[in-house]
Amino acid sequence: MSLTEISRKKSPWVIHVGTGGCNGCDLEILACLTPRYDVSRFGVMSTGNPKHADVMLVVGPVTIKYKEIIKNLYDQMPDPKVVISVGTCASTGGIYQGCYGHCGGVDKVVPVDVYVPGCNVRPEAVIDGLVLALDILNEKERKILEEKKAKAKGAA
Amino acid sequence: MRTTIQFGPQHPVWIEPLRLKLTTDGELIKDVDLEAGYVHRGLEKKFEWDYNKAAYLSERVCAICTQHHSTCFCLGVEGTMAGLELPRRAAIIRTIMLELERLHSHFLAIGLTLEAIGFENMFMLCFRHREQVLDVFERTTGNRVLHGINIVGGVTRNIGPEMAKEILDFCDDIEKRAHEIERIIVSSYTIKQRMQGVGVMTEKMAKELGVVGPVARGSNVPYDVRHAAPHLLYREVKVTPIVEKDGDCWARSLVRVRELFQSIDLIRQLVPLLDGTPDELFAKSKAMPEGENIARVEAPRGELFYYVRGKKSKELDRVKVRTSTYGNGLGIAPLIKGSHIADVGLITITFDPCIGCFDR
Repeated sequence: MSLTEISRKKSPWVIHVGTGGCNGCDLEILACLTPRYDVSRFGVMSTGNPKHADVMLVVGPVTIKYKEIIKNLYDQMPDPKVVISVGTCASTGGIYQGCYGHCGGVDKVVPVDVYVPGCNVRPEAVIDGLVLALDILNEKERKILEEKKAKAKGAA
Repeated sequence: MRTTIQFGPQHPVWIEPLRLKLTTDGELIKDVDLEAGYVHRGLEKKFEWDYNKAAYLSERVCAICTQHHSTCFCLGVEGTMAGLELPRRAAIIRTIMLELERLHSHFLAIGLTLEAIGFENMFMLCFRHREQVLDVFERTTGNRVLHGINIVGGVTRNIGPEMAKEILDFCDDIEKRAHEIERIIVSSYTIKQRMQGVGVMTEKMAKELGVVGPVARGSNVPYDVRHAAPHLLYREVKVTPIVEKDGDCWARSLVRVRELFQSIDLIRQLVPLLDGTPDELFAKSKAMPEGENIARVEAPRGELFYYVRGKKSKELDRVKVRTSTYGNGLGIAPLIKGSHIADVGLITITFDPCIGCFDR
């Protein structure tokens, strides 16, 4: 395991993006960050800046007005990056299916790596999803490194 | 030189999207433009649905005041059904839940306000206390945030004598914790310096803008729906509105802190009423919703209003929701005008904005 891999696994920075949800999952993510569930003991830190983030937690069905912004945020994140869709409505649209104001789940807009089900999710589920995401993050990291190596070999 | 700054929609101060276009002259804000609608899902259209399912939908308007939304919706629909009388036990359970919901919402609001001024330690403390309330929710309804116990005609879950005792024990515990928070906030010189005199809303302004809830009560307007138009058990358990005079961020926060104790007191009065009330939780209606009706409930953020019109079938004809943040939203822009950039986050967060409610 390389140094970057270890450090990424020990301290992933997450950005929390709420789009069109009912706040239920937002509250549970806040509960995750605070003493009872306390994900900071695993090194998870919440940041408001997409350029610092490794993991994006998306909550709620993507509203039509928010579509562009979520794409923008995703593009600003540095590689490797992982997107977690938190809650049923972020995954499929959930109870809001059929409403005119949103365009379904997050995967219609940006590629999603981990789906966390539940309406609303429990904090334990969010932590589980985060742990899953870390493995995916490391895999992506490895891929990028391999590509770099192959490129360097080709150049030589 | 004037500069325009985009504040939001994704900003660490708010957990939800809202955009403020700030026109600034140096550090001072000259003009504000509030742009909402980022959470507009089109829920009111979706309400034209089976009224039994719509009770669950109304919970999803906003999860912070879930119980208030579904109670208000159910009260609205029950009013359109001829000859439907809510069982007393259901009314008591609903009212207990309303007050518990207010407790957790105020803990959240106080915590976020303190985080906005950089007091992260207290934010964590508030959230630790809030978990105690969520524990009671989990024990009584089975869910932490969205409860799903309200249906048209009653509630689905009972509070037995053992649970009632547990709630009373919880009251003692949470009162201690609330006193601790009050002591820290009231005696802290730093918090006072940061919040006093910031974002002042005068009484006249509050009345003109028609703001509701803790925002209005912080500006010396004693308006509380529980007092002005009693619903459910508030007809028996009297509530006096808690009022602060100054109208600044400090006063608004202090109203929330004092309402914690009011809610605890109300729960203490309500739980003994369960004793000896028949175990009837649900009344089935013979009539379909017909005609129109309105219902008002005092949500943690202020007055919540539902208008319901039935068409003598299972589907409802029209449901209009006027949420408390919608009433308060008007007050945000005039307060920010003339303040510093550093205060924008604090002023907006003392309004306790719930954008899920705001846009629906």
